[in-house]
Amino acid sequence: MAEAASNLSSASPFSSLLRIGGAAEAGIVVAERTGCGLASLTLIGDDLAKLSQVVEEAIGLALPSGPKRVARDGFCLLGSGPKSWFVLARDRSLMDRLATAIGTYGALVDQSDAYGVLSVSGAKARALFEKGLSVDLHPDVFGCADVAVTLCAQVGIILWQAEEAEFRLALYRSFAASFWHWLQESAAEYGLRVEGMTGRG
Amino acid sequence: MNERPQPNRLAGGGIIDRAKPLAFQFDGVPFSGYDGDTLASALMASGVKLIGRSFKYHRPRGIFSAGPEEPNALVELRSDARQEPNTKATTTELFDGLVANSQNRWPSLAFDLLSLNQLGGSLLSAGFYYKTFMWPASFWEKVYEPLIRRAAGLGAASGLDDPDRYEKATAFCDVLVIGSGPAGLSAALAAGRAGARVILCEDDFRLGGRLLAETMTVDEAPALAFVEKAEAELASLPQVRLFRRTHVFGVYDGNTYGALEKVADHYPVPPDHLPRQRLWRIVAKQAVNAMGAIERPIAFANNDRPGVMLASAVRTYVNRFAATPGSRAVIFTASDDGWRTASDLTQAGVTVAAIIDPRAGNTAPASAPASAEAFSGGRIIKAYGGMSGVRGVDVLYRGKRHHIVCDLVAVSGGWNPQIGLTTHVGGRPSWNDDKAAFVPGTLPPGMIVAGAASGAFSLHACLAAGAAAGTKAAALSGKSSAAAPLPRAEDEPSRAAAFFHVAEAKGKAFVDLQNDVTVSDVALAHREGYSALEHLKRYTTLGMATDQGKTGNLIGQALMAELAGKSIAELGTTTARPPHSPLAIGALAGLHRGKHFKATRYLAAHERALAHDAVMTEAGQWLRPSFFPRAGEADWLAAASREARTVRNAVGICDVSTLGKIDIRGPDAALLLDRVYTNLFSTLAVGKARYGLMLRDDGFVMDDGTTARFGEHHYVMSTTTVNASKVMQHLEFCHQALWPQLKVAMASVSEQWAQFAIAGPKSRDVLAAVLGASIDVSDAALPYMGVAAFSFGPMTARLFRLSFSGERAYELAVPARYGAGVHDRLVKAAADFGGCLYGLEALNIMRIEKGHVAGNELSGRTTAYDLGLHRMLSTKKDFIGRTLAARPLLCEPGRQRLVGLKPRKAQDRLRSGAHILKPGAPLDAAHDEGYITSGAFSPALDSWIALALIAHGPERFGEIVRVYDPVRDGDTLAEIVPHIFVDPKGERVHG
Repeated sequence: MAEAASNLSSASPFSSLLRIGGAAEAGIVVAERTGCGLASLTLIGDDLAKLSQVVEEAIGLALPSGPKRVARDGFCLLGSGPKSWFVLARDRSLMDRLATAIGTYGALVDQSDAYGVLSVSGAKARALFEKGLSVDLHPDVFGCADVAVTLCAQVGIILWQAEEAEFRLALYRSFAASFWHWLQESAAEYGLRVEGMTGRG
Repeated sequence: MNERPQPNRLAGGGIIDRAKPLAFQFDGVPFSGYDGDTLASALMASGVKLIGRSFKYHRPRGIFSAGPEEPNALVELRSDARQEPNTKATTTELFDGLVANSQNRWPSLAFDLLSLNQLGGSLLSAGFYYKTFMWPASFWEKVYEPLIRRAAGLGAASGLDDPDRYEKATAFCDVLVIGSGPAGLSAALAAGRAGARVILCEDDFRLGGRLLAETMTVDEAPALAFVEKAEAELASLPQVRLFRRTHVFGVYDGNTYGALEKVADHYPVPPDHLPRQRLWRIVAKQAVNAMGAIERPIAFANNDRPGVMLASAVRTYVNRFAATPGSRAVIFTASDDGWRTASDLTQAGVTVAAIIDPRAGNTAPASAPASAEAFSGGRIIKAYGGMSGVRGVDVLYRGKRHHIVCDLVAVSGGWNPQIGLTTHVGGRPSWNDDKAAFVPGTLPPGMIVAGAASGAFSLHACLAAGAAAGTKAAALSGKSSAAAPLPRAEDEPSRAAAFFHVAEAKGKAFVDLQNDVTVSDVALAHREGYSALEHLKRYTTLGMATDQGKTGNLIGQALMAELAGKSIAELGTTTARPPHSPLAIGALAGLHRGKHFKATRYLAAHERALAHDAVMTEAGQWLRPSFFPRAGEADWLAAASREARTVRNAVGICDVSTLGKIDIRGPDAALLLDRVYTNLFSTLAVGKARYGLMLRDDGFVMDDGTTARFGEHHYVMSTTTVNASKVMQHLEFCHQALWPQLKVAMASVSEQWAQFAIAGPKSRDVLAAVLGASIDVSDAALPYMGVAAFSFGPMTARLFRLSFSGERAYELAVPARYGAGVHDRLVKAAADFGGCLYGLEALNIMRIEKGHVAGNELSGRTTAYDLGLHRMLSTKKDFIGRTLAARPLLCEPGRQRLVGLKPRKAQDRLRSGAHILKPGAPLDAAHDEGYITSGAFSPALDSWIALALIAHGPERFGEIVRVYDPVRDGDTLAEIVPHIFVDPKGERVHG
């Protein structure tokens, strides 16, 4: 007899890697963010204005142009490439609402399981990223409205800031262990604290 | 701690902390030094003169300089795995517990048998190797080279893995300041005060450069006070970063600089939390090059004896380190600067016996101490002494020889601006007669050169040029400011004559100390026709040692110019390339070494597979289960054979999550697929999948896989694991570049789904047990090649009825977070039906039994015709690769085409790569008829089988061929058979 599917265990990409704990004064603070929706959005055809309009009508955010970020009411849009974006939604039902609105103007594809999302903060967060990124994260250059789609220690990531000096990054889940190795080694001189999982955004 | 005596240490002065004594060992002898010392200054203070033996002649050598230009005082630092050969004692920061050994001596430094090379010195002149070790050629590798290497080796590597960690990092700034001497400090201050983001890099562990080594004043106070004030102000500016122990080694395109930070080289063992070194890539809008200048020596006989030193280095040891290099000095200077050495030495209690300035009629730029005889227009022609150092010199003055007893010779031939970095992106330096030196010519974009690095040698000039450069660099990067008043400093005389060698010298006069190149070697090169600089360099090895000829190059070039009757400017100079100073390979690798060389990709169910004893194998960056050994199984073959039999007889579960998955949506999705696949996909019904073949533009096969249609405008394509990103790029290229008007969007969803193959006659039973009422898996609801999306508990899952094994089979895709959980349920259910997990080996066995092509056959050199797939080339539409695939030679029956092979004896192993020949044909390339692409032991046939590409293959069924595998000693006979070994009619997929 089949076991109830509702009992199926689920595992986030970093759940077997992160161990909560670390010094209070650690220079790097990391938390995995789980539980919400992540999708890729790609324009179908060439009517960008129309797609932006239907998205804005649905969630109150127009599509950003270039590597930029906008956020509001549980939604966050990240420019990820020409005519493509990443959508983060506080919960899945919000994502369904957006999917309905987009219709055939774009392709909204669920990627909630494809990526792990980490929050990286602390006084030494920028120093940490210097060891993996070739992107200038100086506050005058990379602010909360900016997004970088780049490599960090050979792993493809999407990087943004939820607020000043609180970085978020998304990477393919299969790379979680390799990325975590880089992060642990690179954070060693600053001290590393891991906090509990929190919602995405 | 027992402090050891430091006989040559001054009682006061110097920038050392006498309250912090440090113990160290050199050649097993314990010594003491102080915090703030280098290994060289501590050895000097301890009275050690002999540091090593020279490269070729094994001549005794001491400390020559006080910086990174050191050619002589090279040691093996540390021991065991951390042993580091050719480390400059002059830049090695002293730490407690330091262990160093001299190198290039046997059996000991004082008694070196190979110093007999000196006696045969004329045999070992330039070009010696080229002339002597020519014949017989076969002797080179086995006899000559090892012999030369043993005799001439400079230090030894440990041969062990480097136990330390290295990092790589990238930093951005408005203004990079290279060097923290007077010019660098004032540039950093000016740019920092203007609000620019500044990075200041200094090789040394202390900021200050020459200011630490001279007795000059700034604003009427000792220069050190200025340094400390500047340092404090820079540290207080939040936009300024100070990188000490950081060497800028290269300039690259895009205003990018390479720098090496020695983070933990000053510890015996790096602390756990620190890397040993960190390689920086610094992207700077502007750079101020304030690297300063390097003093050059003058060549005279025996100018390599311990105790013959650069005059500036003598001042450094006396002033900065309070260590006296001798007690009775002779100064030989062709520069004004060298004269200052006299007063510094006198102040330190060292007798100055003579000052010899070859500039005839030169008015002394400084007064000579009373003890010193001044020889204006004289020259040193020879030094005397040996292992224990110089004992005296012969001076030629007004035609007469004068012998002067001394134990120190301070030599100054003027200064060479450090032009290396300015030439890294193609710039050429220019010769300046007035300064008697090469100065920077064309500069890298965004670089300003300031101070001694540009040929402005006086302290005032350096401070002024630095401030101007810092202000300008900041302004160019958008940060303007008013100029601050300059600190007051001396504009001391700094002229030098172009005096490089003493023509009257007889005996060995060294040009390049590290590579033992002498004046007569340069003359020999000229006599033998190697007078172009690049030839001179290669023939004599001038400037090719690890110091890259920082002190000696110009002397060799000047000599050659003289011999060739040209000016130095006409002769030019050789090309400097990064790195400016040697780098450890470990620093270039950073964290990415060993198994971290590339990132590893793990399956969602990786841990679950390990719990079932999976042996993992690499598939691209992925780790995938190869097989699942059980107790009693002899090897991988036994396990894989059991797994394959279990699939054919019952059921098996295989993780196929690594296959590429591409979501394709839009009204033109079908049209795009029709164009990129050779066969039709617009005719595929919703809820069905089809096998597809993709060609490259040139008509060769690119990839294969199945594509399923989930909606009118929605397809999901699968690709092979290795080609996942290549196919995605191909589709994006087709859409963006070829047909942008198509209304379609692609997204890689490879990572979104964990996917499992459930294969075997009991596969439907396993699915029914796991999925329950979530989906109807009857043949009526889900026929062969049917697909469905369905709700399964909290998720939407996808089920595909596809078969790679040839058995009834399915693939179940679930969102990756459920991958591990679903894996466990499938394995448990399969066990109930006599099934098991199977890995890549079993998967491969079964696909070979079925004749399915995979990576080995899709090698990029095969066509659809070669693989027997030409019936998949649609004639009803156009597709990428169609025209070129129809080229006559690509459809020629004589091509190597896919067939099966069965050995005459079932147990004869067939390996991929083995060659196919007609029995009795000569074993040569001309008679080669093809090769095995994939071989496996087939449990179904109880025999080895293989897929092979053989000329005229499918026309030769039944023919016996020779399978020849000389690399692995294989030689057997096999029969050519159709490439589908099991169930050729394809009935079992319904079974």
